[in-house]
Amino acid sequence: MTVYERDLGTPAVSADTQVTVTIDGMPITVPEGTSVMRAAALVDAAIPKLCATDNLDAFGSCRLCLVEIEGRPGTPASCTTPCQDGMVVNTQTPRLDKLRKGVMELYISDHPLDCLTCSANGDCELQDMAGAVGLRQVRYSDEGENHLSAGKDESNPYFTFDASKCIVCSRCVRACSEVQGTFALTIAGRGFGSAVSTAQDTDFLSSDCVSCGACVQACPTATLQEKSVIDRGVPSRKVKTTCAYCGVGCSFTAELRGDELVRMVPDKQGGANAGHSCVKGRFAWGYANHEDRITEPMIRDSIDDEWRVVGWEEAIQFAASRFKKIQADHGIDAIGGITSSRCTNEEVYVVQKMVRAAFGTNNVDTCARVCHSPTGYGLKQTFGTSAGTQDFASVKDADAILVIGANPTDAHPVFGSRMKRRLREGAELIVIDPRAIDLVRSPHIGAQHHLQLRPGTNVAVVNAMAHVVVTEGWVAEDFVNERCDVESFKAWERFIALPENSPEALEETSGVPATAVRAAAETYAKAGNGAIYYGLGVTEHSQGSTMVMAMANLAMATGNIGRSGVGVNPLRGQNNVQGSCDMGSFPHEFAGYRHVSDDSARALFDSAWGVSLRGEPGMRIPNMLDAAVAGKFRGLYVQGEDIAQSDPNIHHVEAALKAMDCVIVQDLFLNETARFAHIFLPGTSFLEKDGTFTNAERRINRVRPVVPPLSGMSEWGVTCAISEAMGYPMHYANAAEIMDEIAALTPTFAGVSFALLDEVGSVQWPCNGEAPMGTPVMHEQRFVRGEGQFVTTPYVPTDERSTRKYPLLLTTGRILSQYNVGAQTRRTQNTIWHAEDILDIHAADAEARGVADGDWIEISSRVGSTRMRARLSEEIPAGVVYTTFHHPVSGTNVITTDNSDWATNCPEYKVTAVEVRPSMGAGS
Amino acid sequence: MSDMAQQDARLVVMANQIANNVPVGGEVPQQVAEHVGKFWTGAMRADLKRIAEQSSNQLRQEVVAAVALLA
Repeated sequence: MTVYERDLGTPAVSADTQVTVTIDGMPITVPEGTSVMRAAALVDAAIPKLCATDNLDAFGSCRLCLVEIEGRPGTPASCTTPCQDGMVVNTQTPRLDKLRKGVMELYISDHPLDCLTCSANGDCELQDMAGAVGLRQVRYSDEGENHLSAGKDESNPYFTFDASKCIVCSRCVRACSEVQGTFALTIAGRGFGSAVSTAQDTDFLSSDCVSCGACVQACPTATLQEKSVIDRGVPSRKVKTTCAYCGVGCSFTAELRGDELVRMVPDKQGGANAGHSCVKGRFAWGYANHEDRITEPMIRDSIDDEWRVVGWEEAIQFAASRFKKIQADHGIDAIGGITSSRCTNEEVYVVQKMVRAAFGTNNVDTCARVCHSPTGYGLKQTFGTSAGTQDFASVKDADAILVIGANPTDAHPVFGSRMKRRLREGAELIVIDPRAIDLVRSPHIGAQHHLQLRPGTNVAVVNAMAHVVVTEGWVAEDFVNERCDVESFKAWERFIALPENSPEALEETSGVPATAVRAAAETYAKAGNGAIYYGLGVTEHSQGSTMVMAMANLAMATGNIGRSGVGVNPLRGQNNVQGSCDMGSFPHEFAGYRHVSDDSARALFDSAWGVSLRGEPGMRIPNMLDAAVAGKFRGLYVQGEDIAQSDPNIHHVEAALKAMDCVIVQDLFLNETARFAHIFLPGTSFLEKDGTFTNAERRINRVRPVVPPLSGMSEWGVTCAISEAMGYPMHYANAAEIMDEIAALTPTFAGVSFALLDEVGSVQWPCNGEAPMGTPVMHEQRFVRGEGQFVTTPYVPTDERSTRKYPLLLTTGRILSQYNVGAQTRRTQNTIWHAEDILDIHAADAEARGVADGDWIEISSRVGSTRMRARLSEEIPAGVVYTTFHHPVSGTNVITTDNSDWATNCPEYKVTAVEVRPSMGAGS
Repeated sequence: MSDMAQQDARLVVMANQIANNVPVGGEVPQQVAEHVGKFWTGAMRADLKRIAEQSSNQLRQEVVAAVALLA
């Protein structure tokens, strides 16, 4: 049977004052403002309910939760009645029994009596409550007016809406509004004609619905139900695990029948998501059993040969012999590896260990190179470590929210919903982005400031904001004097106050009116709690690292670090970007961000691993690719990444891969990179993994195996086998032992173990002797580096500029329904929302080129060209075009260049000079 | 352009870009040398030294000065 999570009926309340009430003879003390319903549930005197659930505000409509309160007349609804000190409540009396039975009888009189064949049989609160109130008969016939013949809406690929089963409790409407913040649903009509409807009275698929599943989860009947449950039946067992999509890292309960996954339900106890989800994590898991999955190892001598399916032993020996021969012929440093942000900490750790210890080189890098490597650089320089400063819950205390180069409602939707809730409560919003992202204007939300800058001018705009802070005298001097390196502050203050950093001086460069910059700076500086959230629109620039430091400067200067509601927060793209970086995936750092030249750190690893490690950095991904083209780098192990689709200047990437003697791809599917591979090692989906992911708020969550690996081997087990075949055995009995080694060698992970995570759910690093239960907010008393370091951040224009030949600037991003290169989401029904990459173009630019909405166009840059359809968009300004990179057929990264961040080589995906012309079609 | 020349060209771009972007206030050659020493491989540093010796005109003066500071 399905095991329900305990539902206390109404949300928790925090208050300084406590009150004591007596419920059915049992005393309980609760915070003032707690509902009688919640207090009753806490003493296990659960009161029948239908419209109440503890992630929604009390509504008081179903009239089932009536109680009697001594000394008060009537029978108030317990969900909307707050506890008062000394209150005596009775939840079970003959009078209440009769009232509840009458209410329930009315509900059931307009509800199909098909429980035995209903898909929600055994998983239905209406059914449970009918039993709880003891309903035995319905006196009203079905000959009267009713809704029993109301139709079904099956337009959504993942759930149905069966109006005949709806009791109009409004839970779905409220979930869409309060939890998700989309306001796609409403109650249409009045009185008996009241019915749940989409806001535009369309079917679900055509509506504003984002398919987050909050309404399905809230529904107490079979009205809104997962199609997978209808098809497969109610689940019989469950496993708690973590989503494998974005960096929010939502906790889920995987619910199964036997070994068949039936549905993923967001976990109310999840520290990152608190019971919410998005369309990807909630529904888009079908790729895990997609027919394209490769579950057996394959090898071939040449990339022109056909693949040959082999056993694990042959594949591993083939891989090791190829790599050993390359090293014998071309030197130790002729091979390397790339770790994946989609893999667990444990899987990543053993790959970087294999590269460093078995290969004997530091040529290991990670896909974070192409997304958040500037975060690592910039935050380490200023704060002392590569990590976001806050937990997600911190946003509830923010008074002004500054979103720069991020689109949380699409890329980090569950956190986006948290942010929207705070914005609806009144926090002010500043958006710095060339595009008018959803947050700029959506239901009940409007940005007070949208600084619609030209792509590539982030540093100019944030420098200008800081200039205003300094010259207007808004610096938090106490914070700076107590917490920061004062000399570095003074140097920065002199720099930033220079006239060339003023909003007026930079207005022409950035395209943002000086008055708008000044107003935004005042909002952020004077808010009380100012919080910065940023994404790849910050990092993927030639000045990505500079921009991270510029934001850190601004936060420190205004005292917005070290408490809830403030901070500098990178929204990480993939599920384990933070973790893959933490685990020592960068070529210059061991786990815990210790440089390989640090003798004491290296000695620690030398001793633990029984090897003599190299003390100088290895190659970054772009260095590897350049060296491959030059014939110096000849073997690459690629863990769970698709660099032939995701990395910039694809022609260059392909040339590099073709030039190598041995490319090993470990993945779920034969991806684009596998076209150039000699060995394919089948990977495991998140449902088959045992380990941990670390999300964007440094939260370490358990990933538990829901089903056995389809390939028969864990990914870390495969890595260990290759390492052993290379001459360096690594022995672990299980993933927990790998984490134990990580904890032993990484001070910020010293207190982490699977046992602790299983006991407390999750922890945020640092988790060690000083913080045994982890650290939600960093830098509270002092910065990790001691004093906060200000760094001067001169604005340097990118070399990538629009020209007469390439007059438009292309910027790229992602969309809600798809994820990264689409390897997973393209193999789900999410393609119904986004079947191809589309170029967004301003109407003026389109008209000048003879392009109409929906036309095929050719888009060209100095490195390549591709074709896709165009969409006229008001979200972008004239002179800028935008697209996604989810589909290999459109090959967006054929046109992005190899320009990169000066400090980290993170590609400049966000600025590519292009031209757009009408085209005959995809194949023309 | 040959494959080797392409790689050299990339190193020149990277080195010049570092010199152009390091924080103001400090000595640029020292900052470039420190950055390259911290993040570049020995082979890349050796190639940069070779480029500085053979065709220093491609490099910003601060980079040439930085090369002299490299170990």
